[in-house]
Amino acid sequence: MEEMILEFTNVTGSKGKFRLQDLNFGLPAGYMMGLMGANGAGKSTLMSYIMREDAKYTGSIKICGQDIRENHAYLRNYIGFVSEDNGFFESLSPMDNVNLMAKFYETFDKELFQETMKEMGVSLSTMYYKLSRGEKLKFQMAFAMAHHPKLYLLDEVTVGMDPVFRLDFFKILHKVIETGEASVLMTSHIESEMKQRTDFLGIMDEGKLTWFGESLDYRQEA
Amino acid sequence: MDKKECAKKDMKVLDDFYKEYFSKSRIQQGYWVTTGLFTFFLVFSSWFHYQTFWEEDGKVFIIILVMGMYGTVSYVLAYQHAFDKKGTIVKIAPYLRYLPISVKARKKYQFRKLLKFQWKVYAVAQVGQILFSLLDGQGLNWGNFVYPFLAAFLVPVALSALSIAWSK
Repeated sequence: MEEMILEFTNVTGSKGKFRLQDLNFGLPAGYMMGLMGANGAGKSTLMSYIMREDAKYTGSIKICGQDIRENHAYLRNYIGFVSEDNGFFESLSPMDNVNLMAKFYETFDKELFQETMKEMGVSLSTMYYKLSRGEKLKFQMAFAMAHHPKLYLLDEVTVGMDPVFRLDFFKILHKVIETGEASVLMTSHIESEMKQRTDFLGIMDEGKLTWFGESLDYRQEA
Repeated sequence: MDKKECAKKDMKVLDDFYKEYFSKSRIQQGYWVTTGLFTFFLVFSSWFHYQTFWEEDGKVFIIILVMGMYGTVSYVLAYQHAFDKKGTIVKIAPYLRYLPISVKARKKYQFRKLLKFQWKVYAVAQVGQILFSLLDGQGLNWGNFVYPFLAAFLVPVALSALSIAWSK
């Protein structure tokens, strides 16, 4: 039986005006899942339910078979989160940010982080706020890869990416899942990209998962 | 790792984090100067305030006392804030939100730092209270002990604990 990296079972909750209704899906190890939907469909809310310990919902969310509510803080060791909402200290450099935040993780490979940043061509010493949007996302990806998560959560990261960087970014994503030990869940409202680049696809509308299955089946149905 | 070991590890991680962050952040200098100044007022005022509370100029020392307590809160607030790129003071919680550390652990760490700090302030205020009272020839009574405990420990700790509890 395939190891499930992420499982949502009957998850229902609300956060302000955003509501999730009876979400059920699973993401096995070594695959990429795309989550599509219009703005306000609930994609980012779903991400926040995984990441935030103050999320209120019924049902269960499991990471590697463990319910996140049992030890939310510890399970964040298993999650690499890339998003514009992710907080890094703007007045510090990427390396200073790593020196501060790496301490919180069970394992953090600083050498891998530095090598990845070098491969991606991002400066280690420039102040974070001076980096471009693309460079910030690359930094966040390098940061995530360095603590070897099981699940990468990417929230609307490909919006506004140039085609060259987009290609490189998906190469990086395929590299992290090809070992079969990690999976990627990414949100986007760019349908063409999600259909072509992912293994599984979920469509959200008004907090509900209206379609879930293999991307190949979605392409054939469409 | 059992719960006790996890909790100990969390405190160590937060200690390392804050030591490193404060060494890089300008926020520290401002808060420590503020804390130092107002804590000095608290310690200095604790004897004068007790002696003059019932006199006309007791109100002046109430102001000094409040300022002294503010030093304590400043100390606690230093752990709840950070600088953004514009140099504006912002909450530190969003920077720690997605890291493998719970809000409960962070609050527990802040409270322990507060207790350690305030205990030292109270000790100095109490010793000062006793010394000045003896040097002044007034002798000691229960007020020389109850007053510093309330003003230099219990009330500042209670106010700061509320600040920690309400923070996100």
